[in-house]
Amino acid sequence: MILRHLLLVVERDFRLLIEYRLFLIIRWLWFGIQIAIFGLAISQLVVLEGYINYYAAGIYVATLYSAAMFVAVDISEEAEHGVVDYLLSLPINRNILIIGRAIGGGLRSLAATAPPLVITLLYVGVRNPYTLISAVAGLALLSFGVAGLAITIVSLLKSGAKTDILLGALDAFVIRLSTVFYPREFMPEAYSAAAAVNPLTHASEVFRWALGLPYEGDPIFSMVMLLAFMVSMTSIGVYLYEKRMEGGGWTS
Amino acid sequence: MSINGGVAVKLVNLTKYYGKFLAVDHLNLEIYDREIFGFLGPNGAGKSTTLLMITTVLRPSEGTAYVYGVDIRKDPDRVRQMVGIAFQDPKLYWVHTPYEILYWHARVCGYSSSEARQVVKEVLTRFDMWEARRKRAFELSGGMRKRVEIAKVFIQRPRLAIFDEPTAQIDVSGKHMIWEMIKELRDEGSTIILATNELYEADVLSDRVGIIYKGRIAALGTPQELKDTIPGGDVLEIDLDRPPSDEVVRRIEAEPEIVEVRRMNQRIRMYLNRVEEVLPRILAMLMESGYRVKRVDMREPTLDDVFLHYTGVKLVKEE
Ligand SMILES: Nc1ncnc2c1ncn2[C@@H]1O[C@H](COP(=O)(O)OP(=O)(O)OP(=O)(O)O)[C@@H](O)[C@H]1O
Ligand SMILES: [Mg+2]
Repeated sequence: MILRHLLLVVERDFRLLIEYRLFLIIRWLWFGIQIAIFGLAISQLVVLEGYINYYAAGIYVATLYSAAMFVAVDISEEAEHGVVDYLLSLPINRNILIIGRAIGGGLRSLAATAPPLVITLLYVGVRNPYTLISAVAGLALLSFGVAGLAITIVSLLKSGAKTDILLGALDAFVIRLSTVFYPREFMPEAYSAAAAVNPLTHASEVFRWALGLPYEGDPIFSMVMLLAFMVSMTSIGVYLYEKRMEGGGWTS
Repeated sequence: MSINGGVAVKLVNLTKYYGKFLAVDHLNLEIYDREIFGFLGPNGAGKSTTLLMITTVLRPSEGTAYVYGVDIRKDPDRVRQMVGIAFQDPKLYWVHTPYEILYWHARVCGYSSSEARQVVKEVLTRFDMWEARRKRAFELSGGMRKRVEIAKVFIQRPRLAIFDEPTAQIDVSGKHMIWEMIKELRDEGSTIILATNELYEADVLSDRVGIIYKGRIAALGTPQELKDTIPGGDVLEIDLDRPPSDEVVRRIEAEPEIVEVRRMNQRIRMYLNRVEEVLPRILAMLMESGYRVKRVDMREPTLDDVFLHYTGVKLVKEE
């Protein structure tokens, strides 16, 4: 029953993908634009050979992060329709519900960003099947972890407007304080320290390693960090949910 | 059948504060196995809040409830295995269709995919929603959305089925269909809690009614018991062939169920309890005394009279 419920919750969240066709296309275009304009422009400034490839890998990770964070927007919108109350009333274990939503949201984000991923892989070129699998696994861990974080945030804030504001703020910080755009050696010390523990950094580096691009640190260590990130985010989500979560009281 | 001496749900000091506002005030109540329990109260009485606590969607501020002996605070997962609720406001995500919503619900409730397809078709057809099954939730009318919400419970067929104002927004034929289906569900062995502010619905459907007002239970019993508890709640009028004598009036007043007698020419109006028991005795006495009865009219109290009696306010505004 537990596995069955988990799969049903995952499937329900994953299927929302179909509802976002237009939105997805816009997101993919935005990815292309970022690479075409900013990537090329910045390549002129940064003293790093093949910066456009470096940038493409990073911007993919940032795109995946935003897509996974978007799970929070879905959930708060659902909540405004009262659907959270419905889900809470079902004969599904609450932990399974949260883990399922994190996995479903994570998978959906991966699927939603599949075309940019494939383009990056084809354009930059992957080293070998082993690195490809590792990269996808690392990105999946990031995606599940961020979706778990998104669920935690939205459950605690219980407000669409507050969620939007916090996501905006987080976006600005989390992406900048990582190696999405440039290596840590180009950062001020405080930034660099933050970037060292940022899961976006680790996802970017694993991805770059898999693509045969210049990378920092140890890919295995980065994988461990991503796994730790996912496990801790879902655990915190489950814990806080149990403590704080109840139906009702949602504001727009 | 029942594992708990016939009690399906037991509320023990169940309380909910929203901030400082006391919405549900230390409720103590037992709902019996396989009964339809009507939870009758005006807007804001605390019906929905109570039901949401029983379904473990809201956390009680104080007290608890037991569903078939299982504490909602200690083992909410097991409680939810036994409970299904149709919410007052349909909880449908706007992009989903009735078919998707009910199919997923059926799968969660343990149906295999082929069983789920079948039961969803049956229930949607019964609810007259098969045609509209592929519309999205935002394209449905208010009554249609409500039908989808209620259909969930009829797919789940839980041991404790909770309906929060099930027929609000539903048309007349739909109301009757839903009442029939609720009775069927009870006859199959489910316990039903029905929150409503419609007197008629509470009266015809409920085995017992709990009147809730300002977060407290004001009165509890079968609809008939409740009506009988109002002193002088029944009204009996008898028209005679001539004005009654003082002696006749005295003898009527001597009946223990009589609260008040008024003489109006040839008519006697009595305020009394249990009119069905008293009426034969009064008629016999009148005929014995040589009167001819030309007309008898009686009116039972409604649940609104009950409501007025216990809360001091009327549920239905006088026209
Ligand atoms: N989320 C909430 N936050 C604050 N107060 C609330 C909340 N939900 C309900 N209340 C208040 O609690 C009281 C009881 O509300 P509840 O919804 O339980 O009433 P009800 O009996 O179901 O009424 P109705 O017939 O209108 O559905 C009301 O005064 C309401 O304003
Ligand atoms: Mg209500």
